[in-house]
Amino acid sequence: MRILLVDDEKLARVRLRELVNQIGGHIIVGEAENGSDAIEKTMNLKPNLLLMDIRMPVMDGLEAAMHLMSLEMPPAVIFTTAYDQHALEAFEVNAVDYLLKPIRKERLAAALSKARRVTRRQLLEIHRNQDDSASRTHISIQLRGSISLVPIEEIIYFMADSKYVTVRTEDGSHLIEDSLVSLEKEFDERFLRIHRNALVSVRSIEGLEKQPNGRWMVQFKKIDDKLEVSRRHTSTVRRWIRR
Amino acid sequence: MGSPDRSTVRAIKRSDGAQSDTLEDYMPNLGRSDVTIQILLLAEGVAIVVELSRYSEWSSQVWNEFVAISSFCQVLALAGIFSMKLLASVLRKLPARTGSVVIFCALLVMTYLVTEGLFLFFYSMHWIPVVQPSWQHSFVLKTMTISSLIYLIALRYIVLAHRVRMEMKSKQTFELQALQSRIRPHFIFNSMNGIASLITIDPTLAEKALEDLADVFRTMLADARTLVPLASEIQLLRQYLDIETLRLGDRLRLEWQLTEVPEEALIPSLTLQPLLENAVYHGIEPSQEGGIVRISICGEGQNLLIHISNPLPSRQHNSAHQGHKIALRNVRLRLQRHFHGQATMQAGEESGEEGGEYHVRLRLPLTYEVDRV
Repeated sequence: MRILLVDDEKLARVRLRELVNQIGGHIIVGEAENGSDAIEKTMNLKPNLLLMDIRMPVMDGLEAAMHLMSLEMPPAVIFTTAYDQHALEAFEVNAVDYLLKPIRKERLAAALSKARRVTRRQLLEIHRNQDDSASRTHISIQLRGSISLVPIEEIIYFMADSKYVTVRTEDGSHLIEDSLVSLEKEFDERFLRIHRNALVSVRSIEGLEKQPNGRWMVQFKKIDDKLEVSRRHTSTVRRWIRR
Repeated sequence: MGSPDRSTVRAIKRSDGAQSDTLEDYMPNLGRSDVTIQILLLAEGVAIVVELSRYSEWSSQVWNEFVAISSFCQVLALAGIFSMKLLASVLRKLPARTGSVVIFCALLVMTYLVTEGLFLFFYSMHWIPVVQPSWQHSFVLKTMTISSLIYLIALRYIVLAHRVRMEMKSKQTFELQALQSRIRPHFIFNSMNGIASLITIDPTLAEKALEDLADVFRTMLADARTLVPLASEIQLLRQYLDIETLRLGDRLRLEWQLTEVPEEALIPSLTLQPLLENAVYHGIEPSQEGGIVRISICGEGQNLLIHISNPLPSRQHNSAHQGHKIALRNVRLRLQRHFHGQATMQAGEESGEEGGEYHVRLRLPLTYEVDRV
């Protein structure tokens, strides 16, 4: 199997590499230091299996696995973790494979021999079980079989039309399949609903502009787009701006 | 992800909620035979006291009366248990305070009815000539007074017993939580994993790391009430940080500033290590580039000043804040216990050169002798 090792601690990667080599019969195609690094390397190096830590900077292992699931041929994932009570319970329940650190050779060998793909549904279940139920740090955009990641901080607004949601960043816009309702729920502190079809990043709002017809438009700091505030949301939006 | 911190916080909150307890939490379970026996024994005790107070000289009359009083007390006790069982389903849902008043009144009514009933029974058995003999009035009054006093004492006892139980429970929770915050499982297992991989690469370093880890654990498990010289606390910090450096590599950068450190000064053990562990856990680990943890310790006149700071990566989990607070509270408690308000600790976010930073500042009086515990 082609394996990618993902852990933010160098010694942990060293240990995994050594154990995999001792077991034999597998190729280690590379190492990654965090979730988003792992996604990038997965697309370049095409591993069939990721041995991935959960708690990592930038993007944690669960989120990375979730983004990877949208690939056409997602790799199998085995999580490695030191201690994470809630996640462990969730793994048990959802039959997702995991290894506890310090990792044992026999356990790793057994896990490698039955490595299987996790499903998005399993990951969502586990994610829900995490004590902080953290929101994603990135939005993944599928493009011809690959994934590109947009950090949440760079998103200026989400705009829904009949079928898709558009993600607007300073550099352009992309289509995603998430629903506006679920996005609003997930990022409720950072994004503000201004219209039935629009969710804007609170940090990128420059101000409000009143139109001759009495409607309010939101202006943004980095782009020239203006979005209309619906009547229903006007009072909440204006309260936000005043803060 | 700070999960143990979270769950223990929840447990603490639960035991703090004693204010809104319902009667169910307080009341002894009347269905249990040992509770019933205790109540009957209490009634017998009352009978003995009453009888002793009536007679100064022994005669066969005393014995007869004692049997009569005992029976009366037992009847009252049984009637009390019975009526409480009848009312149990209603009482269970009442808040504790209202519930106690209701119980008290119910018991008084029950006592009155039983006493009056007794007279009817005696009359129907032709043991007394009229339903209301001349002494009936004072007998009822006496019975009511004595029983109301006893009910009050019993209720008070139940409340106090409950309070003691709750205190013991929250003390246990607190100790458990203190232990967990002293030893973060995440740190233990990651360190062990790191050492496991070092064993083949660099056995000497692995050996040293293992020794450091053992020393850190030993201190963490030791009685938290001990005072240690500042020098040995600093030694512990270095050992702890060596282990963290092993794991985190150059993501963890340290800046020590030690000026005129009074090495012999005594501080409560584990005052500084939890603060540094927080700094690493919340300030360095969540960031890919890592950052600088600054530790400054200096003696100034009669005081010891300690300042620890770490960067705050933009993404902070909520649970992380929880963890922060528990460690801070433990340190604060330790300081309070040793220095009785003469030590101060300030902790909070400040804006630094490169974004948010978290700072903890301690000011402790210098002590050199173990004159208090």
